[in-house]
Amino acid sequence: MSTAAESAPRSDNGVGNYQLFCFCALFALGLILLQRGLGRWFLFPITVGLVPVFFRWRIGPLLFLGALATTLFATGSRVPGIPGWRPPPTAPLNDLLLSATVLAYVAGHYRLQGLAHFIFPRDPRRLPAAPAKRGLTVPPQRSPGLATPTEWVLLLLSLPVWAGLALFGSPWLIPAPDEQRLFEVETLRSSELMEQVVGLTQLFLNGVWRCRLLVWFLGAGLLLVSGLLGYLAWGRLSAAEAILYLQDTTWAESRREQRLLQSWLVRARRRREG
Amino acid sequence: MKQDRFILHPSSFILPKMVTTRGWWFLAISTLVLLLGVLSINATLAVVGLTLVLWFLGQALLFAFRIRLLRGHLLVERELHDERGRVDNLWAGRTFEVHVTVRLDSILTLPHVAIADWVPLGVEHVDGERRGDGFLNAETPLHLAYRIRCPAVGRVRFEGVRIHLADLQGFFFHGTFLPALVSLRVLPVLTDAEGQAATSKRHNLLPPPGVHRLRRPGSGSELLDLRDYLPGDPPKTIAWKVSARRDRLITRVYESEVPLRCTLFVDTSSSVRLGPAGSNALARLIGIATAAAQANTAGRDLTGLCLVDEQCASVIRPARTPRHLVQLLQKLADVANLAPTTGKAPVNTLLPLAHAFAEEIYPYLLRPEVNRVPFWLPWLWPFPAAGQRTSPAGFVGQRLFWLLAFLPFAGLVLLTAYGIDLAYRSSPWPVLVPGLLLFLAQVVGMGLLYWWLMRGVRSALSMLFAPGTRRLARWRKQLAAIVSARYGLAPGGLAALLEDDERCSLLLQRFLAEHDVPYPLPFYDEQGRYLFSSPGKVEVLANALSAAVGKGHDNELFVLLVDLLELDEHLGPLLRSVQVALARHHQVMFVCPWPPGVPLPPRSFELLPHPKTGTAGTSPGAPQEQRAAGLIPAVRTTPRAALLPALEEAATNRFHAAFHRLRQLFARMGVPVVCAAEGEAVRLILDRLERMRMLGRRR
Repeated sequence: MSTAAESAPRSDNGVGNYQLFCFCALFALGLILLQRGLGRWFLFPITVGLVPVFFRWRIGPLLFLGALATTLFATGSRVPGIPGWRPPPTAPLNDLLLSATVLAYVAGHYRLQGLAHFIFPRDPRRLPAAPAKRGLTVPPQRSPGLATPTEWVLLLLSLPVWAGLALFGSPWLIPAPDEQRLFEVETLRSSELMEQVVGLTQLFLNGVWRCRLLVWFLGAGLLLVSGLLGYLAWGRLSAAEAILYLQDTTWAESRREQRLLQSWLVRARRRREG
Repeated sequence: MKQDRFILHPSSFILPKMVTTRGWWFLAISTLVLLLGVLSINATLAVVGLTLVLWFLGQALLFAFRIRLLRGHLLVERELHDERGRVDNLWAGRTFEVHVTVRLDSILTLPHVAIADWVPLGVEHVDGERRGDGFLNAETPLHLAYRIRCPAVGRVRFEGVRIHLADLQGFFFHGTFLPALVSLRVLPVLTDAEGQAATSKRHNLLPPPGVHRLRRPGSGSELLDLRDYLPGDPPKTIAWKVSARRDRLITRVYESEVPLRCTLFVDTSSSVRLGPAGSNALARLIGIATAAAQANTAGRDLTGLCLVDEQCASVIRPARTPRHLVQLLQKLADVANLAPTTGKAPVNTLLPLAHAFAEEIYPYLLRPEVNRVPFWLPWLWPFPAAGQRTSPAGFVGQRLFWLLAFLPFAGLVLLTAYGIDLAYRSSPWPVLVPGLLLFLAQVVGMGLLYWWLMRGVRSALSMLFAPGTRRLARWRKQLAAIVSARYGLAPGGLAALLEDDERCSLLLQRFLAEHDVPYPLPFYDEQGRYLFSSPGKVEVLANALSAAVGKGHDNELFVLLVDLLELDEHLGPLLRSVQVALARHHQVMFVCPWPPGVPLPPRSFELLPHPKTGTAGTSPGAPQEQRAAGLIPAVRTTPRAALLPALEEAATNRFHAAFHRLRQLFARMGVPVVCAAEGEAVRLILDRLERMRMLGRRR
């Protein structure tokens, strides 16, 4: 068998290369976290990210994201509504680099999984033995030789784009200190349990209110794109599909009458046959 | 050889169907990070979360657009090679190399594509890789090469290539099938020494190839008779010595020298199609017919072919050219892997098989966008509406349900009666409608409504505890739609297949048989009658034989390769046609396919031209003796298996008796009957053919 990559330049050790890629991303991330003044806290996400790359754990990216989120939350968040609250200082360039390195690590690790474990999901259907023997199971993972340097270059080039977009959109999510909120939370320090619950709910609703733009944007965008692509798909049905669709529509419109008619015909035939 | 342009079939709604579990987990965690950042007003965390979410959505959009923009740009090419180059026909028993190329006719690139070729069910994979992966663009196609071997004559269908597309992270996935159908004939292998006719010299003078002596006056070289001279006879034919002895002019009469026409009548009815393709009775008959045709062609005899089944006969007139031989072989290959069909096969047995196959080969026709199954359909509209057979437990359950359902209705009726009575008693106005009439009208109306309601409740209740039945109903609707569209039924075809079990079963069998998928069939109907005796073929065969006799010349040989076992009471028309053929001085011989696994009939009967009467059970070579000789496995001694040998023995005796009766029947007319058993060499049968031709010639 020869595959597509035969005629293209290949690196035979795609797994090792992507491991190296992830290590580099983690190194850069460590430097950025140190520059942010996290002190020894920077070791936590780096370690959590390092071990799964070394052992090729599939849960690695999720663990890493969890560790990073915990670290950033613990060191940089303030609870609004508490007297004396002020938003933490932000450095846009630092955020941009941090996001880009996180994305580099996550993308590299998932690509590593595609090479080391699987890239296609398992087929949930319980097939009979015969078709399985026919060789209809495709290779579940990428051949290691298929990972070319072009992939890395494209990935590296795309990193600042996504991070930049996120940085551009973040002001709509994070309010300015003087921005009016949906609820003014005054009761969070109260000793009454009920008042604390109300306060937390108000906090949550404030957050949701801030996310309204994101939700609208994503929801409307998804619906629009989905509708557009669906319409394109209808316009390009093959002949067999179109016939099937028309037949299905006819049946759906007249299934009651057809059912009645056909059941009579069957009964009549059976009576004829005795 | 074949280049098909394929259209990808993505779903109209993007995300839920193309995102993998890995993708869903990543999206969930990224969204959580984003929400945490937003809720805690942590700009860094929000930016990181937003970056991940935007990147994911961007990848999703890119993947969806890739799939849609590449519609109609995927090409599949398939070529089959042998050691000399590309081939358009395959040969049984030989090895061929398959080359499959998947090309992308677009400037876009698919980052990761995995393909797997569908190897037909009738061929064996020898070596080579049938699966491959890589990226795909205009310059870099994906290529597979492997070798196959075709064990049996017939047709092989290369349906196409399974293709899976994914992004490099494994977040998105699209799997489908590229239908690139290539159907090739597997021709019978050309015989060498085995298929050649016997060349032992039986006469002092052998006519040239393709010419045979016929004992009728003609212009041959062998003396047939002497007769008195008639005016006009050529002088060179006068036998002078004999004339001198008898003192009158005597003329020599010579034999005719004519070509021998051999017509092979091959049975292709369901009775010979039973069993695995390639090792059933039909394959055996085709093997014999092929060898006979080749041997005839090698001897420059003319060979014709007539394929007979229950409905019709397909005839190829005798000829002797190599092109004609290839035409015969192609015709035989076309019918070699026909599958048996019966309308009595239960639909529910065929549905899982057909649906699993359709999921593999026609996934784009099972999409809900074009082949929708309403969710309520299996619950409220079980298929078919008419004549559903219920089990005894179901029968009792139904009665119990209606009994229980009657109790609330009775209460309702009493309440109605009470209400009407109360209303009539307390009404200040004169009564216009009699109370009884009003009561009856209300009860009838309520009863109909209640009955209709309870029917729905009963159907839903019975479906509630039968997930398998619901699944089968869904599959049946989807497959009925596919089959109805495929075989061009009228717009009402879908509804007809949902209601008519027999029709649905026949079309599902046709669908499976077309794709060479083996399927189980019952041998006997509910009354215990054998379903595959195919008595209809006798009439068709008799008509075909009569037509061949009507168009025949001198010296025709009709070889009937037909399964007529246990059809004694239907043989009348055929016997009459055979008598007509014999009366016209043609030769008829009969080759009976023998069921695989059944011991051969006793030898002592086989070569007797006029067998004596006797029963197979008591004849020499009966199963008891064959078992003693080791031909049949010894009787198993376990109690549970004790019945099996007895059944085998009974079946064997039945076959032997049927064969004996058949042979007796034809022997009365001087028609030899040969048993085409599984292990018997083709050479032996050809030898017999030759010998019988000689026997016929001396008559």
